[in-house]
Amino acid sequence: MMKNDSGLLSLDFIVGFTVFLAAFIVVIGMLPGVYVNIQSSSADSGRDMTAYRTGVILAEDSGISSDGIPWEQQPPMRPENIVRLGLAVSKETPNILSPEKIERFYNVPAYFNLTADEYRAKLLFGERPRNFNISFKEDGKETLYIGDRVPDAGYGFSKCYVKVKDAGRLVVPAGDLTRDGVTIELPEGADEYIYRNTTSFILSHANLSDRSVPPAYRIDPKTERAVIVIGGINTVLGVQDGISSAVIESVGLFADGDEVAMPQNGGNEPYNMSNKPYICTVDGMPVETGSEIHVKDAGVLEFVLYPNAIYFPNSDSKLEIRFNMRYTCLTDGEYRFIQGETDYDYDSPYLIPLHLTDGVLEVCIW
Amino acid sequence: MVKVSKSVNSSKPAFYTRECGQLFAMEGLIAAAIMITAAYLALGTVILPANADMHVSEMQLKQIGDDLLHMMDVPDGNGGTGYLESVVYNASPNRGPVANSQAGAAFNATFINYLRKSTGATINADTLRYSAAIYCVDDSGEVVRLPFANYGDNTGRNPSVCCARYVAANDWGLIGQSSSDTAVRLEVLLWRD
Repeated sequence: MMKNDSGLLSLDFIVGFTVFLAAFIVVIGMLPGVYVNIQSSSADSGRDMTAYRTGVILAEDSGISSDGIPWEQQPPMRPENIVRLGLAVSKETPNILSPEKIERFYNVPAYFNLTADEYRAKLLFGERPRNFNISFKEDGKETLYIGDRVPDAGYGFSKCYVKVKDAGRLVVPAGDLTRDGVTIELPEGADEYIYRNTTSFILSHANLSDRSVPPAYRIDPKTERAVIVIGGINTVLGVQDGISSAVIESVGLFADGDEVAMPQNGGNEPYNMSNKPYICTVDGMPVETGSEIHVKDAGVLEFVLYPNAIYFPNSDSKLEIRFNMRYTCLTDGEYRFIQGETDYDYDSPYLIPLHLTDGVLEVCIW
Repeated sequence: MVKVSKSVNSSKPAFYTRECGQLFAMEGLIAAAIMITAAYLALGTVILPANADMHVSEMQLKQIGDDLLHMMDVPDGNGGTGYLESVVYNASPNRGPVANSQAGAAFNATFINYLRKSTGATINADTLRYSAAIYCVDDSGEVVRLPFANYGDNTGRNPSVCCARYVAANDWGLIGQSSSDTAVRLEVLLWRD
């Protein structure tokens, strides 16, 4: 019996330890609650910290997506691919913001239509749900903002001074594209003669990615829009009375000689809202993409190519933007048509150097 | 415990001996479990305090000042010079007092304009003040402080933060001393009025 009792005592000891262990775990488990009370007493600094962190992420980080494609180029129906939002051109260029990312972030024009919860999950990252207002103003432009109206008091605040990178712009006078004359003879008995030609702009990836150009001033059509402006077309074509009409019948994009398939509605490419690879305006008036563009009396033709990685499959790839032109001539004679190839690179005399514009980014958290 | 074990070993059948051995092992296991659990939970509750938690106000000023100097030093176009570089060039003492004064005034105008920038989402109270100075090295190797520009006076009652940036300074020189292409330290003390 004594030996059995001593065995029971050891079991009691085990039970005692178990009780102690349970109590110990409960006590330890209460400790985080003690720290929570301390944290809640410094709620103001928590809001300021969140505002500071959010501002720094936006201004200094370029964002990241789950599939490696820049987050701003994700299809509009796939916002879940965005892991983290950021507005910087790259991590090498803190506080230099990308206009494409700014448009997508502020949903101007409407694209991702992210909800407040999605902004919180992809940018604020706090365990505690916070209200926010993130506003941005570039010099000379309207203020953009997301979030709720800022309360009068009790919010965390962060201000970041930034610069916005401009798009690469090639501005070509039409006269420089119409140097050579073409002799037209109308067929016997015909009232008009249809003449077709092309004028192209060549974007060389090897030249545009020149490492001697700092990233903040580098043109990258894979991630940034490229703009072509042809000015004074009316002063060249418009003054030739024998030309009754001049139109751009179509626009073709050729990567290393192979035509790039124009994306169809519902596809994932390209990145802009209407699945249009480019937009074109004549004297400020937008032209329906894919339709003919009448240019005979155009003062300024502006062509904006939206970025896409497929344009440059290799490091030395070249993209050709080809305008297929059609002219209607009513009389015989020598005409000056828009034609030829023009390089779009740093060596071009027509390239306007990239310019940075001041802006300010404010983050309010409450 | 040791005595009990010896007693059992000396006088009891083999199965009692095994039972006691199992009990001691259980105690050891429990003790280990307690230690591991305690260590796990204790480590899991550690919160590392960040300095920023205690200096949020200073951190905001520091960020504003550093951002401002950074943006003022970034050229707007490739191959150009940043604003700070051009203004520091004219602040070199060997340019003369008129150029120095104009450089200080130009810096003031630009810096204040930046400070007042706002998106309009909040009420932008114009409460930030600053004092800027340039530090350079003279021919004897001594660091020289040159007052440059200021906006408001800090009587010492307002806590300020120091933001600084090294700026390229071409043909920089003190009066009566040699000049060279160098870098000077532009330091801005920033505080809330």
